[in-house]
Amino acid sequence: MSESIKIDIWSDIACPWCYIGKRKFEAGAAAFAANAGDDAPEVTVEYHSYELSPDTPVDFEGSAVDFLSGHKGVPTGQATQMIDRVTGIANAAGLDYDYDALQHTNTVKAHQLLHYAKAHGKQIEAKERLLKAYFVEGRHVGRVEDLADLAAEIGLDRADVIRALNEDEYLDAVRADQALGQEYGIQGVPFFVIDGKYGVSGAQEAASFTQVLDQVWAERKAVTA
Amino acid sequence: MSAPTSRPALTLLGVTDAVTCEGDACAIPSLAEVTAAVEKAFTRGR
Repeated sequence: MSESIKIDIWSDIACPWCYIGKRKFEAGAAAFAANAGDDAPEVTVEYHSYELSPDTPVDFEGSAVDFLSGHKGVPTGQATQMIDRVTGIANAAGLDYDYDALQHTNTVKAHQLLHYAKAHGKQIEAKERLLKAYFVEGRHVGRVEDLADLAAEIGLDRADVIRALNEDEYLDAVRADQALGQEYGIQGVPFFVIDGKYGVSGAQEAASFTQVLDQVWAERKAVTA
Repeated sequence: MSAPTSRPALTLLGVTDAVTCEGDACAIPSLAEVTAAVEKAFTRGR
């Protein structure tokens, strides 16, 4: 097997396109592996922190429509229409978004949990768990106790997670991710960096991700041939 | 203090108009983003 292809992904939890993009990327990577067969290189993924709305309070009282109409000035009818549409797009990607249950919150502690999980070999599981909790299950992903519950569900030490989050043990790691994202010039998420030299922006179709991986792999083979 | 390191620019691959979230407006995606995504999906599905 060839050396692995490294994918660094900048995203936020409170980012509907990030979860949709995650599914599209996973489908694209699976198709790439299937096409490449036994010689397929491993595709390794690392998630990086990006806060879309760092000034959001941990406890926002109200629904998604309240948030849109009260904070963004979007008419209620239009807000409902927007949510219905993104829910439909998510559904087509196999994701059952529930905006009625969704709880807006600040995501900096969730990002710290992703770093804690990375340090314990469970970042991929934590990313999926947090996105599903936020968009599908209406779970709160801003409070330490709620995050610790989710961490325990994927096998992390609940008490140690509470300690780490209360001490902001991984806050510097979150800030380092954000600084690195700025160095790359990332202005929106999801954003995918491949092998540290290629960038892919947005929730691309699965076929686009497959094509990109095919291209990167073909270039590698040409160099080593 | 040393100057911040500057990374080489990334070469962008893939389509350039895929939807992203930028800023707090994307706590919920904008109608324009959703409309663009629906239109794109519909067009590619033909």
